[in-house]
Amino acid sequence: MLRSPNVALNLLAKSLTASTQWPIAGTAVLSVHCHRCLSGKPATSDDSNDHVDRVSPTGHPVSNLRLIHFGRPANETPPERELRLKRSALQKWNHEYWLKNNADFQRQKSDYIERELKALRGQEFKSSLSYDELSLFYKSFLDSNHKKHMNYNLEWYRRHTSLLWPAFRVLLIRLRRKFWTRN
Amino acid sequence: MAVYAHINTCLTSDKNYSEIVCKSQPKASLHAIHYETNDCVRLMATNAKREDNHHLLSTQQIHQLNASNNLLLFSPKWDQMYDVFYNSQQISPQPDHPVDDKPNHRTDDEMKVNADHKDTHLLDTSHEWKPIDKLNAQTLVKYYTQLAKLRLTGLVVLTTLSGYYMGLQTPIDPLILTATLVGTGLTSGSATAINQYLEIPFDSQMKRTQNRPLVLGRISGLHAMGFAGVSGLTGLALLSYVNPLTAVLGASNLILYSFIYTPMKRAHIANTWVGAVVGAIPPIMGFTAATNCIDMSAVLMGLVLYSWQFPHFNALSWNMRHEYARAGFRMMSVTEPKLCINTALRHSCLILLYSTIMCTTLTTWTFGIDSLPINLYLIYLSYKFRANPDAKSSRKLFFYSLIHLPAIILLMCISKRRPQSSANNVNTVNDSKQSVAGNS
Repeated sequence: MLRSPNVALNLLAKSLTASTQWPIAGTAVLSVHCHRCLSGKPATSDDSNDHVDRVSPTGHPVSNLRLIHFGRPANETPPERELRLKRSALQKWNHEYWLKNNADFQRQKSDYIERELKALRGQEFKSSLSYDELSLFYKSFLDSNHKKHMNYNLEWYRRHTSLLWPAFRVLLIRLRRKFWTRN
Repeated sequence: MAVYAHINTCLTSDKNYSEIVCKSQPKASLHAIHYETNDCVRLMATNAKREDNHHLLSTQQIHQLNASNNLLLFSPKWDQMYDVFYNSQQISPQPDHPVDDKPNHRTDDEMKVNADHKDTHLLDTSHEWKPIDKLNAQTLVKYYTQLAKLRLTGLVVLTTLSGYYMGLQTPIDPLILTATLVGTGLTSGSATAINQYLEIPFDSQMKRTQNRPLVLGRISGLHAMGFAGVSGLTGLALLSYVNPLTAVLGASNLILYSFIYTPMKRAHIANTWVGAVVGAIPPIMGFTAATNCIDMSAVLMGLVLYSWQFPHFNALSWNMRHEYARAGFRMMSVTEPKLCINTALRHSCLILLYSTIMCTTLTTWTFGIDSLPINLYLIYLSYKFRANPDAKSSRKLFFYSLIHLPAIILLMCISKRRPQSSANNVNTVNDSKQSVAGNS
């Protein structure tokens, strides 16, 4: 779970330093130790908070996604649990992709800007003025990442739409619970 | 001023390293080190080690942060991740928390993150992850209008209305008209809802779209798709009541927008052309609702709208190309800026051409005259945009395009050519001639 955020944040923080870049494989061990990584709540919160879905108040600073903590109600049925796990897994996968993508983008952009600055030999660089040079960078970024983006798109569509049917089942369960079990 | 702090704890070789990334205006960052006290691990903020660090926390502020009992700095389980938010209220001490050895001497001033900015205090806001609000009628209406992109749908309905009026050769049938307009509106709303459902992570990347209800998590994906399904089916049913051709056009527009244009936005820059077709179909739908066939006049109206999309959208996308690039959108403004600005100008000129051709069949020549200044100004703004593409010229072009389209449509409708009235005139002239001849 913490692999990509870790690597991404490290990339952000250490982009210009010579510190060690952690290999992706080596950080796999993190996921073992981290649980509720996206929950955003410290362990001291009481369990009553865990029953409802909660949304983070702002987008994540790197991935820009609004993360959701999926609450586990006490009377959770297996279909509900399945939906919750699926949504959670999809969110985690999505979050990691965007963390990596955005961190890569920022890092490559700052590298590119630094290279251009060196080429111009110390001239003042304002990113808003030199749209021509930046557009070259944008084009190269999009072209080099095209396959990755397309794969992500297809995967995202597939996984997101595959949530619809389980969500419909859960809706029926909840309606039944609300209107029928009162009798 | 809100400072969003995010702690990412991680394993390192020394098991002590932890990184706090503070997001604020402007950026600040700290690095922190764990150390274990009793049963909890306490984070100590230190200066950032980045070369490019812009952190605005002074050494004194870092000392104060370390002396505080802010929940941010306590991590009972050091291998968990925290998201804690700062805002401008004062921190309230947590009585349950294991208190540090140092006395708690926080004051309002000491907790200021940025002395230069307005009062900002560190606050334990672990409760800030809010539960999703229950929907009531008011919020439901609000979210539905956002899902349906009400303003855009309104513009689509307007173009359909104009198409219907321009194609009308018989007296207005209010039932058909209402069915057409409501059907088109519902279909368009359905298409935009599906689009928003598919685009959730992309919409969250851009400022313009990050407050949509699905992005914010206010309604679920199933709810949005249910809305799309109901409104789409109802809309298409209404359109098929009008006539099958209109329904087919509506359905293909829905599919084109939701399932072809939406994925193409990240595949190829040709998505703009596909999107232009999507914009051109509604007036043709209005036409077919009135005439049940697609003829030259309908195509002309569609062409005007097709060409209008280019100055409109290219100007809009110009300012957002940075965000588009990061989010992976392939738009002309990002990858082929020269093509972007040339297309805008080219199609502005084409609008003038279509308006002129329209004067021969669809409208009278008065349309050609009074639409001339409006079209010329569009060409002028597109030319300025091409000569000097920047935020200002693109914004001017975009906002003018929002005025240009309704104005052109209005003038078109005013100058609609009425063949029946000219035939009546000929008859009355003949009658009067005969009566004159008869009398003499």
